[in-house]
Amino acid sequence: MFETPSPSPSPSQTTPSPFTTLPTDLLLEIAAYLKPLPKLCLALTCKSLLHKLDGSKTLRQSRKFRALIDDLNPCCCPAPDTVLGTHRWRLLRRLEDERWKCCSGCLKLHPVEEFAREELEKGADERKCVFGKGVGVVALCPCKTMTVREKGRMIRELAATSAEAEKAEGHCWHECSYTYDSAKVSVKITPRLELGELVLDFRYYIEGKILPGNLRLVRRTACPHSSLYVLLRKDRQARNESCDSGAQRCGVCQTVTTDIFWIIDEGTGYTQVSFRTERSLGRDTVLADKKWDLQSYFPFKKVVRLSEGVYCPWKQ
Amino acid sequence: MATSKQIKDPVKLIPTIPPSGEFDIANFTFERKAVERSILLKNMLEDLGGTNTEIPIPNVKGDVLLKVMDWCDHHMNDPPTTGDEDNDSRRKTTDIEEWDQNFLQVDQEMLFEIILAANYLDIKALLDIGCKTVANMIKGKSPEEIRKTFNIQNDFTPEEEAQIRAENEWAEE
Repeated sequence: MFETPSPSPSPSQTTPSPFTTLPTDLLLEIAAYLKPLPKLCLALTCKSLLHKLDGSKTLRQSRKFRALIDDLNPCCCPAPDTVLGTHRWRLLRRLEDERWKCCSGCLKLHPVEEFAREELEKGADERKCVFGKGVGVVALCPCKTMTVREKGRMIRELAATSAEAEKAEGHCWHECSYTYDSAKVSVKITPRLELGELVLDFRYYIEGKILPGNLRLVRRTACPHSSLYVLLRKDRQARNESCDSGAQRCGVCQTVTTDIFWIIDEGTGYTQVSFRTERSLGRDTVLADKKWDLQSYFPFKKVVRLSEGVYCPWKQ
Repeated sequence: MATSKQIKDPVKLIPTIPPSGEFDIANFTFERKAVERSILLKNMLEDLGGTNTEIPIPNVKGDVLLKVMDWCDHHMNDPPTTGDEDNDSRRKTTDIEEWDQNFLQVDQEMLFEIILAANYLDIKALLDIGCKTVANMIKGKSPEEIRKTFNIQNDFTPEEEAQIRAENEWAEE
């Protein structure tokens, strides 16, 4: 006669894990019932399971776990609920332990030594690292973001390079193409140091059947506070008034956009736009400085809409 | 238990690994319909023909076979699975009906033995609920909590763990 054992499974410390002897096909059968987050958590328990469940690294390197703010609306700061619901943030929460804690500004885990004691007492959604209240993530393009630590590293590397070679022209650091609806966006990013500050030079080229309304869909261009639609509308106004485009300066972060050229085929709506944007991300400082603060998103703050298409993501 | 009922069309399953304690072959006589929940045994019965058949069962411990046949006995009148079900639709839900939930309230060793037996005997529905039960035990847990639940040895060094976190941009120091 079969006797039902204890209702709650509780392995003894000496019993080997059943997972270690389970054939791979049955392990995969179990994993097939798991969504990506619990599947990754299972894979991260030991080397053998990581190899069997994610030997190709596809799961751990999927965008949902890598991108800091990729899922979010880049034109304005996301609602806290949106951040809390992302796969990445939920994964980081589950990876917290005695050594590593979540930083809600950088959206990364840091060693516990990189938090003040009072910050460690806060919940993960409010906790910020030693870089202070100005920490946040700067979105550069859909595939690149920057944290304040990465900025510091880049400044130190540029300082070392320029001291060595005294190069006048910087090298392209990142180049990518992406699409929003029918618009294809190409961007090249070149960093340089200017009086100790990190300045990123963005060269954009955008083409497609995008005018007029679809311009609102083209995100992550220029600075965090204006959409491409607003930028070109201002440019058109400036041209109408003075017949000269000149430079467009963001009233919030002072980011300057120059060399704006655009051609629109009135018949088909096909548009080509190119422009150059320089974003100053500030210095390599002990605390995140004001310029960094202005350029970055702090994901858990609310957005303030200043005017049509202009957002202020850092003020409450 | 299957043996406590009047068996109309009996089939004897002889486990080559007998159960612990006293071994009574009468306990291993089951209704043919219940035995046929196993596609492996159904095919064997068809090949053998006749009635009052005895089938040796290797690879499944006697205790586990009794438990598995307990499930087959309860589900013997369920519509047969065709094996053509869409895997994705089967896996959409991890809901398990109450009787099956109670049936799988066993220790981990038995739970995994049931999964292995269901896989060997080709009992798709039992394999499904076994895998779902394990999946439900994993959901909502951190890697460390999963290790504790299933007694998995963490064989990553702190450096290897830090490297995985850095590589995937989850951590930064």
